[in-house]
Amino acid sequence: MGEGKTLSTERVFPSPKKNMDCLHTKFLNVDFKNPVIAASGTYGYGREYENLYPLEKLGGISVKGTTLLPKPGNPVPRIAETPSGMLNSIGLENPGIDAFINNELPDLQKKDIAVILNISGNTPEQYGEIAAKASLQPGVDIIEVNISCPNVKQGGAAFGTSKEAAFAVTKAVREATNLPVMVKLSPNVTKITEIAKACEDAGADGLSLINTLLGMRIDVKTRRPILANVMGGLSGPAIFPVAVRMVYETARAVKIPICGMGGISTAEDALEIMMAGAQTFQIGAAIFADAYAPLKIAEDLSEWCRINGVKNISEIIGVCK
Amino acid sequence: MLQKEIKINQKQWLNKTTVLFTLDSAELSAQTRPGQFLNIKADGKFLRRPISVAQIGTDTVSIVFEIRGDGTRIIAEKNTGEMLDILGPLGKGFSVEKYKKPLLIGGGIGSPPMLSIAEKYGEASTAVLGFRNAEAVILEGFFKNTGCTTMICTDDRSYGYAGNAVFNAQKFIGGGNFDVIFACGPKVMLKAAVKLAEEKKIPIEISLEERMACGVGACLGCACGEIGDNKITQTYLHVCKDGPVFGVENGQLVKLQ
Ligand SMILES: Cc1cc2nc3c(=O)[nH]c(=O)nc-3n(C[C@H](O)[C@H](O)[C@H](O)COP(=O)(O)OP(=O)(O)OC[C@H]3O[C@@H](n4cnc5c(N)ncnc54)[C@H](O)[C@@H]3O)c2cc1C
Ligand SMILES: Cc1cc2nc3c(=O)[nH]c(=O)nc-3n(C[C@H](O)[C@H](O)[C@H](O)COP(=O)(O)O)c2cc1C
Ligand code: FES
Repeated sequence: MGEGKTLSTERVFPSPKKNMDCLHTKFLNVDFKNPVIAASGTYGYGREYENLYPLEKLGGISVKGTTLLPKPGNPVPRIAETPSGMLNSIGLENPGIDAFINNELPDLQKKDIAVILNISGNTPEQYGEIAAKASLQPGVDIIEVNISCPNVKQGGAAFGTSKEAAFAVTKAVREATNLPVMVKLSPNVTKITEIAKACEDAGADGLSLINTLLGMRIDVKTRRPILANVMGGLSGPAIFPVAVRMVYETARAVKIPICGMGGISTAEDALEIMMAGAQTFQIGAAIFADAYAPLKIAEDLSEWCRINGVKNISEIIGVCK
Repeated sequence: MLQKEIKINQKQWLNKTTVLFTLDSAELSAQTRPGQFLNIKADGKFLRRPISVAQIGTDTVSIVFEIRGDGTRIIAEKNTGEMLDILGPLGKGFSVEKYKKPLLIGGGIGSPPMLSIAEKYGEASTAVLGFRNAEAVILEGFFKNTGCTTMICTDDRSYGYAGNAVFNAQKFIGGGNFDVIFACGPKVMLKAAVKLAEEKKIPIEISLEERMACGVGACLGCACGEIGDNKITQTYLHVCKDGPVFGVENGQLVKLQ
């Protein structure tokens, strides 16, 4: 897969219990047993892959982007393959915040894993309303504000590309909840540090980046776009260097902690994104190619710590100058 | 469900572009039902390719697929003894426990999944399999070996009965006492099969295709809707997890038990 090299290759899963204390991380005041988080929209609510291994092997899960009301999503095709990656235009299909709280949260809450609620809206007020609902009962550890989803015509895109709009949304969520607020940035901007600073000024506790890059593919036989929605978000190893660059820039522009993501598929990628300045990281599309990717990455990271005499993985955060 | 590298025990070209792989795994075959699929890695490609199960042996599972593009070509280039990285079995299969006398309708590369049903029912099953022309015909002997009454038809009349599968199924369905139709093939064929089932008041189960990423229900990439009209109405059904096999009631797709 992609450019990434694995640190060790042949393995049997589920692997024997190993001491992975070196991966313990505190992020936004929440305990993560390891810095590996499943990225929003790529892991549902954590049920599907439990047919292969327990969700609790991960440090955290960012659930599918949740809106105030249920959303049916975009027409199909919603998926197109690209060199070392993929485009998606799911269109934020989700059952809405109330269904999330009633049907998904109770099970997630029972698990020993950090739960990140990824939210999306059409107005700052909607974002605030979702955040308020999620704060009424225990279960959600962090709110991740998706101001960057490029799929939805009236949705996230506009917020994530202007510092005023990003500020307004962050402020609305900040005022609606006492939970840690992490704003997820869009890479589809000229200066990501400007948006990052606006979110910090509006009271964000942390940032996550990057969301998908806007892309498009054409079927040369039909001479039509492959995606019914014409354009979609690019993810996977293809976007990894962009993610590293943006995490590096942003970490130097703000004081709040960063959750990095974008094309991570190996422990070496994870090390890179952490050395660029991320405290934790999310894995998305790589899971589609290898369902065990998050586990392999956690295991390889702890092995890397052991070999390199690193007591805790947090020692490497931002070490790349 | 498992994600594993499994050995290709046997490889057989069925025609110029269609290949059969027998995969060596008792662990996989023990879990697999007719109608389920595997999501298969193509070296150098990012996404896995969904391929239905064609035969379920005691310690083997076989797949039959056609070279359509890069991914299927790369997989088809694998040889006996090499490993195939699979995720599966995935999805819900046909309700083979529920019915006694099925009519199987297969269109082109939609025929292989019907074979795993024919294996289950033997002489109690009847298959009508439609292909473009004589060259495209595959698996005739395999179906006949199960004891299934097998009718092959071709669109260009170059082999077997003339006309498409549903057209031929229609001609003798009355005498068959079938208690269900199981169908897999192109969308137009499935629509015609659904219409036939409605007319004859026989339950029908159809297997659908959609572009997939995860194959397990996590990414929501493979949404599907009604089969009755041309426009796909959005619902919360997803081909990989709720299907690929669905029932149809009043023109609406329904999730099977
Ligand atoms: C549940 C299911 C079962 C299937 N079973 C079989 C089978 O038993 N035998 C068989 O020959 N084919 C089967 N198919 C179709 C098969 O998956 C596609 O032909 C294959 O993915 C094409 O890949 P490619 O790289 O060769 O083509 P490309 O066109 O190069 O593929 C590009 C992308 O589009 C996707 N794609 C293209 N066509 C289809 C399609 N028809 N359905 C889903 N995704 C597609 C590919 O997976 C890939 O992500 C099945 C599809 C589904 C969804
Ligand atoms: C199928 C799919 C669905 C996604 N849905 C969401 C979503 O609902 N909310 C969100 O903030 N990001 C969503 N994303 C973006 C990912 O969370 C992640 O930011 C992006 O894919 C880059 O990481 P990756 O290359 O590791 O996948 C989605 C990505 C994919 C591939
Ligand atoms: S392919 Fe991911 S939900 Fe079906």
